[in-house]
Amino acid sequence: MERVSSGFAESVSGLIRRNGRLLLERPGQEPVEVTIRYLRPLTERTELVLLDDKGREVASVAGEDAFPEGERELVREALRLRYHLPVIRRVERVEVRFGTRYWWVDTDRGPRWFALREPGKNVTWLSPSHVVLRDTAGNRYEVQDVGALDPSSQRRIRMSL
Amino acid sequence: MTLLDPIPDGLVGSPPTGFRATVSVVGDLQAEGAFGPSWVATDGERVVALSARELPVDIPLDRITEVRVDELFGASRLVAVTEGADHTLATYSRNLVSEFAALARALDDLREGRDLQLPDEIQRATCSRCGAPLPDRGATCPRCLSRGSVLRRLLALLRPYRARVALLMLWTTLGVGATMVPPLTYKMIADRVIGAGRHAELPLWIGLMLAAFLMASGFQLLTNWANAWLGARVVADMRAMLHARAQRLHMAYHNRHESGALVGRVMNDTGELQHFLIDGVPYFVVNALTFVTIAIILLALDWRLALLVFLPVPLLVLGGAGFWRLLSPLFHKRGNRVGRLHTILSESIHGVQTVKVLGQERRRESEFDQANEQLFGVHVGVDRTFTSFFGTMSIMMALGTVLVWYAGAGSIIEGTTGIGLGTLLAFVGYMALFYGPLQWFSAVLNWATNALTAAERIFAVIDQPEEGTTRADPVNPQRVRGRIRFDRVRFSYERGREVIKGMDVEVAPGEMIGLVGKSGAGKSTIINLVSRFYDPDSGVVSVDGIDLRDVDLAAWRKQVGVVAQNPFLFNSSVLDNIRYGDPEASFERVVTAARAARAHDFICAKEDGYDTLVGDGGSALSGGERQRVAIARAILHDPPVLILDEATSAVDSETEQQIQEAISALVEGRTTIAIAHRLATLRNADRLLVIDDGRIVEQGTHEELLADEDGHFARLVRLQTEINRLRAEQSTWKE
Repeated sequence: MERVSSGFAESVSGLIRRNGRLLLERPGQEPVEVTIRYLRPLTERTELVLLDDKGREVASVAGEDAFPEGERELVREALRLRYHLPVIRRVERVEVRFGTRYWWVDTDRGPRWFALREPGKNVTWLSPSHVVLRDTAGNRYEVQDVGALDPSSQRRIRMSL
Repeated sequence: MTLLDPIPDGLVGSPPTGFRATVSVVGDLQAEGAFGPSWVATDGERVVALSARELPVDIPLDRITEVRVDELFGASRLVAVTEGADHTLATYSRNLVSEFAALARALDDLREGRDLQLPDEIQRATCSRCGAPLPDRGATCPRCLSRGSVLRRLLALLRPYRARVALLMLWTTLGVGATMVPPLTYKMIADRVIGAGRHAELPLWIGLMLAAFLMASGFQLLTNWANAWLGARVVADMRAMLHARAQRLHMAYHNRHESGALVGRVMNDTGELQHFLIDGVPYFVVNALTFVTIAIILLALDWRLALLVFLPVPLLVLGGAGFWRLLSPLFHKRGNRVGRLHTILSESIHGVQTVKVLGQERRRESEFDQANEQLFGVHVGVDRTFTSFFGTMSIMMALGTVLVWYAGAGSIIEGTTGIGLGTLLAFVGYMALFYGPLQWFSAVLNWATNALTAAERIFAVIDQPEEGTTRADPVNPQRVRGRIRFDRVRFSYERGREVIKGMDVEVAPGEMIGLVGKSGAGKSTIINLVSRFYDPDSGVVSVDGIDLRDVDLAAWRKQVGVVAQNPFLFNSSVLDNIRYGDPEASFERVVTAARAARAHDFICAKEDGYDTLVGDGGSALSGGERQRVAIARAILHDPPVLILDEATSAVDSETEQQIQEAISALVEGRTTIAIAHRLATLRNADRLLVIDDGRIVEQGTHEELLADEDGHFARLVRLQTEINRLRAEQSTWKE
């Protein structure tokens, strides 16, 4: 198996989807079952890594352009199926009860109601306007740009975080 | 229990006709991430999965070769594997991890023809009553919990001190009553002594005024005294309850929560509560009583003037509330920024060497400056808000005073309403008592909320179930023989991530077993299960044929000796530490045990001998010494079953030799389960179990296992030898 010793591979090809599995078939090699992940899933969703079923690196690339055009939709689909980070578009209401903060939000994946506790531990500011919240069950939610939300959502976020 | 969620609305398709679910779970995500319902069910013959977007899945169980949970980013996926294909059954958020883990196991049980086993209880992430997300799995729902109920529980703690409470209330009432008297004496002096010329009455009113002042102060003193006792008493009781409960909580609780959080709860939350009970509650009660009494007196004296006094009241109350709404996020922000500054400061100091080496002093400075300036900003904000508040409140109170003087003096001059100078003076006197506390009412309410939150957090710990036996009449074995059996044991710390994946093994009495495997393979979990810090999710761990869950827990722990990798020593003498499990043990027995543990010599060589204090966590002893003290402790404890977690840290060869001798003395005649790292232990063990990914993959003696060159064990040993060789080379370089 070809291993990349430094930097990113120029190109990778041979991705196929078969029977619900993602495989990498390279000429002269056994097909390997792979998963595709972002290297920086929170701050910069560009560079990707392919891992085999034992979690070992098969290849890392600078972006989906490293795949032939015909395989890019497969890459995108695999990423859509793996990454579940709802993006908050509107904060409808925030309520505090006995130290637990309840949030009613509208996300790109639909409305959601969650509870937040210990903000020191569960609120991560990736930049002054980009924040990730972790609710009490362990789900995460993202606000990509607080300044781009409507004024009342912004106010609720600033009051609560 | 049963796990039978009904089919939600809005799904594509329906289960095949005649399908009757025996286990079913509702999911909350679609495959590509949108929130929305799904439903996975089995009737024992097939598994059916429906969702709002995808086509239905319907697979006979006998075609499934594996049921797998894929951990995704922010979600999980339940997958059924058939010959050569993966079928996604459901995608779900972290809220449903427990439910789907139970379903996955149920599918495995049914598929392999075993009896269906569901966990006794699934701790849901949402409230079963109102559907709200819970602060913690299985916790009480804050939205279903009323402040009143927490308050009632808090008051119930006062029950043993009823007489004192009654006395306290009497003194409070008398104190407030006495405070009401002086303004009335102003009126009497003005109206009767000065106005009507009854000079002889002056000593009477002056005396009454003095007596009232003295009584008010005296009762206030008594009230505060009694209250300080009561508040501190209740909180001390709670602390004791918390500590006792913390000792008996399941290890699972301790693992789920940081130890700091529990310590914080015992100290901070009880402290907050104490502060509120001693200062907040009396303030509130006294002022509420004063407020109502004065209002009544004012109305009785002159209702028109009274209404003028009441005029600024709504403004004061609303102003106070508004002010707190402004201030509490500022306080919150200040707390966060102080924390941030602390972190930076502590990193700067602890990491000073790294910062210097990487030449990043400037960057640290600018990071600190930025956080420091932010804190400065919020400090200014807090203080300015306070100042503006006091300013506004003073103006409103002044407004009331001016109005009363204007209207009161006007009436006296006109002489139409019958208001005399005395009444006016009494009004002015009462007004000072009346307005003052009002501005703080909202503050106290806010304070009350915080204190009740603290109380609720404390009760949440107190309400946690204690560990113990599942049976009402637990078996109490006097001394077990030590036959330990694992029967189809499966276990996970976190639902959905199995650590022990079906384990069968029997250990004979007196046998020494060595557990070998990579870190994370499940070795520590096995000893946790034997110690019964946890119960298996399914299957049975038994001793002498009795299910451990049926054995009296305290009796069982007495039979198990544990020598941990990093043994914990209490901050007291070596002697106390060796006989921690049996404080009554004679000194001679302690010495015998220490000698067997090869600890006697080093203890005697210390200046204070057996009286040597071991320091915080044993910090005054070396690692090798701590281990031998722990071994001596285990020898004295004399358990039939011994658990040994060998330290990985390298010690010099002489210490190694002594520890080895100590261990040999210890394991003699006991059923021993050791996590083995040392070659000597591996050789001495009657049988080695090689653990990989929660399963026993090889077993046999050291020689037998080494003979199989392709085996797990031989590979592990080769790797270890290589590491040791590298280490040896490194140490030669250093020399």
